[in-house]
Amino acid sequence: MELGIALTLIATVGWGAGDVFARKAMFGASAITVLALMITISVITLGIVSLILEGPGAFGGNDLRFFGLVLIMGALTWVTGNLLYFHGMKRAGVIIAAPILGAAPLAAIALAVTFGGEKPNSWVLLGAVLIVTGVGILVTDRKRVLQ
Amino acid sequence: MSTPVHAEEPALAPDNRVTSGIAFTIFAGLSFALSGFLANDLVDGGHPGVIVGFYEGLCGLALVLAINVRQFRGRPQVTRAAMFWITLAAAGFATAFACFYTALSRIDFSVGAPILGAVPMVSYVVILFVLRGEEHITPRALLGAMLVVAGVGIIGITN
Repeated sequence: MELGIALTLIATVGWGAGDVFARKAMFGASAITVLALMITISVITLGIVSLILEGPGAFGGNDLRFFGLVLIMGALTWVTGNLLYFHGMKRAGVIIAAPILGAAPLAAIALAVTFGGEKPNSWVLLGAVLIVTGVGILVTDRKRVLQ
Repeated sequence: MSTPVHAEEPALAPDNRVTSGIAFTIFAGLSFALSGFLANDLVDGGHPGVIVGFYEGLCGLALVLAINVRQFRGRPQVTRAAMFWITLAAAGFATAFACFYTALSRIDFSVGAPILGAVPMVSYVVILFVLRGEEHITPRALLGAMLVVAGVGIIGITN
């Protein structure tokens, strides 16, 4: 459990810093070029790490369902996810885009309530109100400055 | 130092440009939430997180190249400085995917996802060093980001 939390915190730092580095790169390349080069380097890195940690055998033995799901995930994460996010960052700036993306757990709660039949407690509702207020402040900030 | 490249800059009014950027980001957030849910399913099924991240990236690369095939016919313009930041960003993202997908085999998605709500705060700290003079953190932006992080934190703790 503790290792899981620690790994998630490392992931938080990786994504938080990676977003800003990607935004910085966009001053010298188009969003789509940044994304394509980033995925290429990420895939090579993950491939090498997988080889070291799991061995070559881990790349095989996956069923059709696995490949179907990773294809959907690839589309969600890199096309409708990062591609749109990078365009969003280029247009709105990382200062506005990053907190809006950070509000994604609110969508997970909405899905759980709508489709999972879950009933949120008052703390969850308070958290949701804070998120909506925060996003509202960001979206209506007219003093945002780019470049 | 090469000259900056500003390809793909949309010809929109600044305010419309920002609004469309916000809409893109909201849609991206929904995509990430759904993708994380699916990753949790695969990792719970015994697939190593790094392998899931590798194949996901491979599929993503194929899709991004297929969708933007026309843009990549010519040689893309990338300054040397941009390549440096792209490499750093890729290292950050690869680390994040490997760590988070591995973490999902040890913790529930409902526990891990709210922790990622702290990503904006990490970004703001990095912005102070990397994007100084290029993006400015206004008091309103800081207040909005803090409220989002506080809200996600409350949901994460009470879950």
